[in-house]
Amino acid sequence: MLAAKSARGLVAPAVILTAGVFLAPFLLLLAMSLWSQPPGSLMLDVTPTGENYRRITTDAYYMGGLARTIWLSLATTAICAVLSLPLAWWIVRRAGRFRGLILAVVLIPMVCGALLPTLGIVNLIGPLGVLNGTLKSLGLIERSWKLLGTQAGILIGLVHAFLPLMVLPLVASMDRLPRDAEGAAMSLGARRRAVWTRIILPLCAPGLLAGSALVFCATLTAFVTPLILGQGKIPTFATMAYQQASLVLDWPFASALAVVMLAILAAIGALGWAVRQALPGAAR
Amino acid sequence: MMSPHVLIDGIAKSYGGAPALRGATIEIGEGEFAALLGPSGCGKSTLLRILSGLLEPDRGRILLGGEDITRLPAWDRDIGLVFQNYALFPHMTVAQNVGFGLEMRRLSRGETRTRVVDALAAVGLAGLDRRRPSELSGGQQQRVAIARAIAIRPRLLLLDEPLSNLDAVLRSSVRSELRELHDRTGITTVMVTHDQSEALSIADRVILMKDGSVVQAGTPKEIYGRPATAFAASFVGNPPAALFPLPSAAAAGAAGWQPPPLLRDAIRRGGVTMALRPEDLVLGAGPACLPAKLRRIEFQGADQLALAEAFGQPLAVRLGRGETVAGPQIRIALPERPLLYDTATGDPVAIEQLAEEEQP
Amino acid sequence: MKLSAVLWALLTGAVLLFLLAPVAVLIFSAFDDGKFFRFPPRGLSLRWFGAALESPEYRSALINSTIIACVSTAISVTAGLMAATGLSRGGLKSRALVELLLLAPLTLPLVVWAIALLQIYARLGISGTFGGLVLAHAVITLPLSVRILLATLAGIDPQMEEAARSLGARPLRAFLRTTFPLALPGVLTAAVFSFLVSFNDVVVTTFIAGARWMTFPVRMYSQLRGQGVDPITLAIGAMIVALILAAVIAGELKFKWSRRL
Repeated sequence: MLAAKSARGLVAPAVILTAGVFLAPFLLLLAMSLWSQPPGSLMLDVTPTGENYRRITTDAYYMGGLARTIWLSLATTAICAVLSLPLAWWIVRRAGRFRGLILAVVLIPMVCGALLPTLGIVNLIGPLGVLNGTLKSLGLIERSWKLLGTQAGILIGLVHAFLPLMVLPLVASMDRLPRDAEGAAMSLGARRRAVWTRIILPLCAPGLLAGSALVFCATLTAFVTPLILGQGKIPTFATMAYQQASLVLDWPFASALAVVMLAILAAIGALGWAVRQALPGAAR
Repeated sequence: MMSPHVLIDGIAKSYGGAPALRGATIEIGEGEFAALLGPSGCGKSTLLRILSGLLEPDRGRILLGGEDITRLPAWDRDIGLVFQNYALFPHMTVAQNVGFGLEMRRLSRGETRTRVVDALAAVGLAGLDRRRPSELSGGQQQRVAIARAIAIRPRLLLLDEPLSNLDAVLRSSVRSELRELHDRTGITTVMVTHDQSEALSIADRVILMKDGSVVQAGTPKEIYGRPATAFAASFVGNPPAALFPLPSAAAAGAAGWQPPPLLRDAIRRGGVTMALRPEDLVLGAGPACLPAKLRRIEFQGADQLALAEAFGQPLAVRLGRGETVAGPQIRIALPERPLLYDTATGDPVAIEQLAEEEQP
Repeated sequence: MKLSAVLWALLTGAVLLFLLAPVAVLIFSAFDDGKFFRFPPRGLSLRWFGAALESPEYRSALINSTIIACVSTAISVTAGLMAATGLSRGGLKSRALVELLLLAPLTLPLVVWAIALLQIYARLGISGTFGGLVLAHAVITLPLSVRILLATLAGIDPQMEEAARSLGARPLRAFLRTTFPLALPGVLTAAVFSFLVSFNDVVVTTFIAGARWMTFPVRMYSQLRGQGVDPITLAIGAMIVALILAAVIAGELKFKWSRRL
């Protein structure tokens, strides 16, 4: 054990970095979202005004973008959950000595960053890409299947980028499943389907919930993937904020868009927490 | 005892307001094997950590060979510590583990080598020096931990629950090996244990602790024969003494018990508890013997234990191997001078004092 | 094998293929001889790799990315190891709160933070500077280091250090001789992941990078938004991905990385 004084000294640099450089800007953001930038001026008007928020809530462009973003996030989360459940179970129960190798494959989107896999997806689903090229040479289609610049294309990219966020918590919670639980259920007469619905899914619910929250939040705030795979034609809330901050340079308005995203995430977090409390075995 | 080798003087320590030690004072003589005995939470482990220098006391002093080491950091104390879980360094070989303390003392390579070999030989592990801890059995790991602690030629050797992680078969052999090692090396040793039979069988002196204070310190015979409190009586012995609150005179009469004069005085005083060791009791007959109901007989190999109940209180009587009992109503002959304690405080009640109280 | 087991394996295989496909295509497309990738390719060649190794402008972006990632990783792992040690060995009363604070950046959205940081950096005049970039990268990689190292230290018996101290080692030496060597795989994992996050980051860096300190991902990102990628970018991207893949497979097999995250 360390003396409390030296422990505090050891923790201090990390706490200062995180609180000072990471958390403090979030507070400033709230203030900055109430400022305004008069048209044609580079000076900021710091008298508090709700104008930025009024603009977001009344303009169909932004509300439509918000609705599209939430829809994309929900779809991504659902697809990730459906793909992850069998994969995670297979990793935990069947992979054996290939487990490490397969987990390394699962980690790929995480360790390659947002950009490099997206670049690969462009060449995969583009009009002259691998997918269309293959289908055409097999004679299955005549004209290219348009994925780039559509919501479907964005969905492919988002699912790929955030699948690990769902698989890893699921693998962790399936690892904790008592190995004999399935056998016990079967010895009591449960068929495969009942084993899944009555034993595996309930016990994995916390992992599934954690993964869903992570994927949803990551999707909601992603802008690199939607911007590139949507080819700028499909604005989402995060790409709008990015454009306001880095191209239009209306920083107060970008701040307001960011605050709205943060509020949605806070609501999702609260909802996730409430569901977690309601799950059986919440006390564990 | 000569001037003590170790003097623990009024050591107190609390964790966030909860006292773990309330001013413990203990003397340990040069070359002694002492056991700190007590139930979990009695402060014995805290005291061991304070002795080793890994924990600072709130109050009190520690003197080692006359020198005040209270503020001396662990690394300057020359006190060997064997952890309960051994805390071997898994990334070092056995020889590197044992040589670690010597390396810290900047001993020459040759001297280190000699001392490592000696220490390993002393614990019976000669030739295993290239192994890793993970390649050893639990018993061997413990020997490495002991060798590591004695290689620095400590002024004091501390053993934290040395037998608790061993299986029952190993336990009794390690017990006598520990004692033999102590006798060979002559290192003053303090062992922490919650197992009274361990403490009684190995140690020269047993220090019994409870709730952060020393209850009694003495030779195993003293601790067993003259327990200082009702708790001491009920903690030591296998099985320990049964605490038996004396019934009222009316209840005794109703049950047909005519207690001997001494107990009559005690019953008159009221609030007196007898501590009854099974081996001090025999079956008897007649109104002077305690009437009891036999519940069950446990066969224990060398002898038998009759579990009985008198005045609603459980107690046990040790019987010979061949002895038979006609139950369920039995009579138990009490020792001539039973151990008597005040029921409320647990303090001993002197027999002479009872006689005095008789005459107002 | 039963039919259901076969189906299950096929499904799993399809998902794994989906995870692998983008990087596989990326690597493959770098071998395309043409200026624009098309499938099936007209011809394969190594010429874009050669061009990549010779191009000075790409080299400078790559060097920038590497320098920034190395410095911010050093800060992140050092501060992270200190914090994890203090938290896991210190018995602090506020431990839960401090842990929550230090891990918060993992759950909070980086875009939102970057939009705020952009404005603060502009006021302080450190936008686009080396110091500003390193600070931001150290902060986004720190929670990862803290989490990996906390898990690492939780698996190492704190009594080991105490044993070393009772044998005569001063605290720093006791740490360096016992806990540190045992924590080394975790430290390495934290360093590799910090490096990768920093090296690959575009979400935060695109807001605060300047002309002087342009990183490779930001450069690639602006190409992707604009005229489209040139084959040299593709070749460099392919090499980076191949390196990362090799490192991750080796790391997973040797150090069980997925369990440390």
